[in-house]
Amino acid sequence: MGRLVLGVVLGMVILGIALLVGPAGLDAGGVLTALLDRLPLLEVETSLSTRELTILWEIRMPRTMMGAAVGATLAAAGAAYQGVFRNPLADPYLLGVAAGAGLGATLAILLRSRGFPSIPLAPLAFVGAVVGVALSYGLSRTRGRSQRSATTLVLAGVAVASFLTAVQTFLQLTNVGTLREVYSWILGRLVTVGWGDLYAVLPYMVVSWLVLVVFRRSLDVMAVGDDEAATLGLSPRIVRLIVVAAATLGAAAAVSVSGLIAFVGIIVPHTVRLLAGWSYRVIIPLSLLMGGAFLTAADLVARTVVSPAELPIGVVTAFLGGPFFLMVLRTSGDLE
Amino acid sequence: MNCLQMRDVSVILGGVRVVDGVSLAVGEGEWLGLIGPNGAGKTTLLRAVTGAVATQAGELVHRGVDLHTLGVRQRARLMAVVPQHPVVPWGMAVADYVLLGRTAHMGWLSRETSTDLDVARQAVKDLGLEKLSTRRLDELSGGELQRAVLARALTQAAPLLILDEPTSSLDVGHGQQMMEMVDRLRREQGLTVISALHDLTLAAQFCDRLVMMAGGKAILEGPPRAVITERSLRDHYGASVRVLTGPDFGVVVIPLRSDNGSECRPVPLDVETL
Repeated sequence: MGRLVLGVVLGMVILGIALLVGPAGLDAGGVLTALLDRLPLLEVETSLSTRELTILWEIRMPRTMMGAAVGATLAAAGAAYQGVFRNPLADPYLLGVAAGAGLGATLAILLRSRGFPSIPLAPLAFVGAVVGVALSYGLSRTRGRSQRSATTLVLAGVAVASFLTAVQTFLQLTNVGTLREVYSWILGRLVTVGWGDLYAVLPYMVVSWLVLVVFRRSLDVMAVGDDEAATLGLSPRIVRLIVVAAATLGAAAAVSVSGLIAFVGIIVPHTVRLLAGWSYRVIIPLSLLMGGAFLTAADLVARTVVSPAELPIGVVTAFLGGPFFLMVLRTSGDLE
Repeated sequence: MNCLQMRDVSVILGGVRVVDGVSLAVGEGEWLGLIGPNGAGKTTLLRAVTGAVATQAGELVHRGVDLHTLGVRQRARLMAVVPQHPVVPWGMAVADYVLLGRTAHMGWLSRETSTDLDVARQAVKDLGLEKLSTRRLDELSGGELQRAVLARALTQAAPLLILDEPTSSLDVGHGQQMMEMVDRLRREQGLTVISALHDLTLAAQFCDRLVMMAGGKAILEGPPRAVITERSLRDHYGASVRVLTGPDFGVVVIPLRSDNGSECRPVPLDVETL
């Protein structure tokens, strides 16, 4: 419980800093009063000008919220995948989410450059991600129900992801004019985020969070393996199907607006594990919190270090996350 | 009264008939032991009962209810399983592991009730795990781990307890303690026990009745002394043994060296069966 409180406080602090820092410096007291003013029943006079209020509410707020939501979703989805596949290397992109979304986004960028400027990128990336996982799932069960193990599913995912990536690479290379745009999407970015983007994907993410939180005890039972989980009264296939569906829905929504942000789905759950133990009852809620805080912090770095330009956020997550995780790993003992 | 009835059960795995038309009845409160050489089909038969493998043919009936009609939850309330090689989850504490046994009694969304916690606490106490309850599972010895797995099975509060080679990874002392523990618990709680066993002496000492399997079939069935004989072990295990029986130790199986080792006498072999 103490860790949960600590996580919430840390998250709030990082969110606060993220709202304050940017090309236009906002006064901390002004931001605080502006936030309080928005609470129901409270009337507070804020010192921010109209222009500053617009920056706060229309640019910084949606971007910060999106960063937190994407980070929370990817981290929780990663934790869930690691749980149902009992594989510490599983990540939210395991069954073809990344490859499918990449193909969808590449198609959208391509069609836009070919005279269809109104093709929306995010929905196509979302559909691509869901189709990728559905293909992996569907193809892994063709040998009959009893044959569909976690390993078969992961291997089918590897094959589907390779195939989709091959198609995507082919399309990308035959249309070099769009190379830069595709590449920048793949590295991940939160640049163009407004409230509309957030409202479009938030419902999927919230559903994903709720399902994963509800199934956190089932994930603990899954830790004893499919056979034993079944003798304990849990159907491992049904749990895996529901959890994979929920995690995929969230991850697909996240990458459709943020691009393929690497690393969050593996590093955050494992850091939580090292600090707070084995149980998914703790890992899932803490991964949501820490994932949100981590990505918000990473985005803060991404938009400030080379200001006014921006670094791709995927570069920052790997650059900061790698050393941080190694530090936790060295000081907290092993995961075996 | 029969607790579990198997009628003509067959299991085919990878094209091989691993269990071949086995019919058995297990009485209420009985301890039935399955013995037989490696690959005889003991584990597969148990897995058919627990639903881990599908049966090709035959019936499995528990107190008049066809097991095939039950979902995993209902089955888990009916039978608890101690697997031969339990999966040891990383970092999990003994108390939490034991509590997993309550899964079938809890709703999908609910937390453990005080009843669940009480049942788990009692199982921890019954198996003498109180001092280990906060220890990590991956740090336990083989005997301690086996007790934790048994405690988890007891927590399921199922009338039928299924043990697959519960002593196979234990030394002679821990193996004996394990069997005594199961025997005490089944008497106290009125459990019916089915176990595959490879230690024939322990099987003979603790089981009410033995079934010897070979080649997927149930070959012999009866009280231990009728099933464990020098002849049956030679025919189905290919073993040269001396079987001793006595009022205070039941049945003892002594393996004999066949190459005239320094201290052993050669065993007279029946030429016709070779």
